[in-house]
Amino acid sequence: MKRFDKRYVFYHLLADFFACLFILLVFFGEAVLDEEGEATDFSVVIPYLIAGFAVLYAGFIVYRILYVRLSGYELAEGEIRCRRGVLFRKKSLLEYKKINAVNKRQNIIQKLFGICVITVDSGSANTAHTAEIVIIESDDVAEEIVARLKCAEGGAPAVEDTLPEEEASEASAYKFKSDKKWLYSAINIVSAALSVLLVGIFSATVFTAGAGILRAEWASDFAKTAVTALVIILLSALAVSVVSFIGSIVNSFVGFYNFRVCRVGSSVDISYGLLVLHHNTFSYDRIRAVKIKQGLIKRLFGYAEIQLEVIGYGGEAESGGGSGEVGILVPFCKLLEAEKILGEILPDYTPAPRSGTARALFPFISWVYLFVCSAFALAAGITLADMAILGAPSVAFAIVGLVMGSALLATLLVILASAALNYKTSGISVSGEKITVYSGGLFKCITVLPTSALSSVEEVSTPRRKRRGISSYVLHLRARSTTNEVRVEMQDSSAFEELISAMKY
Amino acid sequence: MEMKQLDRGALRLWFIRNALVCFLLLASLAVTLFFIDDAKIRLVVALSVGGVEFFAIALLLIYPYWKYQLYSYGYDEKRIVIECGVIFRRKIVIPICQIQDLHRFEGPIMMLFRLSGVEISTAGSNFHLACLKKEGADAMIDELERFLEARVEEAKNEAI
Repeated sequence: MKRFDKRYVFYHLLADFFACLFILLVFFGEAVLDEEGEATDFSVVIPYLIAGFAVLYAGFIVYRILYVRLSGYELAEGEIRCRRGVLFRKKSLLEYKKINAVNKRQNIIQKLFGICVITVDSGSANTAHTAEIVIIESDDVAEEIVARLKCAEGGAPAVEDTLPEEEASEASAYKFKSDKKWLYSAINIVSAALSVLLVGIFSATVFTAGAGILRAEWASDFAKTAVTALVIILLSALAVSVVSFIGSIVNSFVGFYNFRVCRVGSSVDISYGLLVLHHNTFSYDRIRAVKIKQGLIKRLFGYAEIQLEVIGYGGEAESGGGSGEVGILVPFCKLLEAEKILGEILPDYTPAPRSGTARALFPFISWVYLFVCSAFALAAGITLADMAILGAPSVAFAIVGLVMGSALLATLLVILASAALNYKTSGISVSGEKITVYSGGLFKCITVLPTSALSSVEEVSTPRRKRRGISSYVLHLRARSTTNEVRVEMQDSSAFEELISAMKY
Repeated sequence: MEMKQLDRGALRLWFIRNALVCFLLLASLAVTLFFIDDAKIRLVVALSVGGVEFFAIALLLIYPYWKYQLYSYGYDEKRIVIECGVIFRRKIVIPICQIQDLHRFEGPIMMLFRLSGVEISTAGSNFHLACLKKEGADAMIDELERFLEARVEEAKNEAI
């Protein structure tokens, strides 16, 4: 078996240095402060800190050296073998014909050291959270391994392996250009701004009511603690929303740097990223569904993103960085352009026009309104009764009533908006070997799946809806457990027979 | 396809389970009230928590009967059909050829009533058939395995 590249140890010499510093600061930072929170005499503390750092760092390095010495891989005749781990050792074996996806990942520090991480996945749902085979090799050797795995699996060599960079870029079916990135960032910022605004308005209302409660003499310690906790949660939500402003810009220009997607033989090649370079290869026959997704703001401007559902795939490798946007085929494009791109890369997955639409609007809101109003009525009744028993002044009743009433009204309006959009969107089409599902309220989704990907069908209805010929459906896919269901609401009951007939028996 | 209803023992099992939950809810409320000294606060807790628990208990005791009446299942050599749900009625169709594994499971109270559940795993989803008689569950699993083997043979012959 060939061992992993030694430069993995040097890479971790650098990465673990900062990790150890971080750990010491977080866990032992208090040691430099005395009981009154003032800095102690550093000459006393520093030797201990240095000793602690040395022990921790040495431990990490020994682990990395052992990891490289005890791990290895072999590209045998019909299979790939891999052995890795120090304390928990794992030996994996994967036949070439069972390879589902081959991915190459490289962050900016790994690029400096000239190494990358190759992950090979079999599509098993049991190991969807981690790849079966992980190989750490130099750039050149990694390219050869990826090319060899693709050939062994049955696909043609990648376009990027045989063409210069400019020609490979031209061969890409989709180009995520700078103007699109600016628009993508702008739309993400508008979405984040809207969330911040909504959270801000709600926070301001709660702060005002909370300030009134905290100043009141009758409020018990418990009520004060509860209000304080709520205020902290809302402040945190505001902070997270603000951070997303920055994150969306960084993500679009850095995360999707040089985004390329193309069909190569019987597989789809996707590569992107600046700080962390992703190069994903998915076999065509392992693709279970294609999803065209639109958030509320993207819908207003007519843009969408396209995702792939690949059987058993999803999650991150044990080492070598995070998964990034796993299964992203196209991060940002015009909705009308999506069909054209799919026609070039995955022609079997172009969406068919809707043949069935939602039957009625009222069923979308009836039960949801009933549950929400009941919950609010119960909460309001209990709160007001408790306040009456504790002898709260009338102004407190007014404040609490106002806050709860506003929250209820806002919730009902959001539900109504989502239901109206869902009513307009919902539909299903069963045509030949393909099913197209249109679903979603605030977040629209068009799912295209082959009938062979359907593992079961579920019809959901109430007695009254059944009499009116209205049913909702849940299509279960042969995919990973978090995304293996596609729901479509309030369709004609006759669609159930079509779906049952379309399934493979 | 003939749709079968669950054994009567399932209804008893669900009542007993829910009764245990009700008992725990009431016990926790009683213990909480016991440790509160202030009469007003005791009244507040009794009203708020007790009110919610009252609705929950009422639902827990009525629900099993409805669930039992509306639960049915059936299977043949091509598919399994399960009908369940009280307010939202579900009808699930699972092709035999999509079955990956079959499991039988029993909890301690189920063992008392000689009941078993059957879990049907497909690629990506799991479905549960609740509270069959133990012998019935075994017979069902055996039959489904036979149907699955026959279907796999059929698929091989079609391929040839």
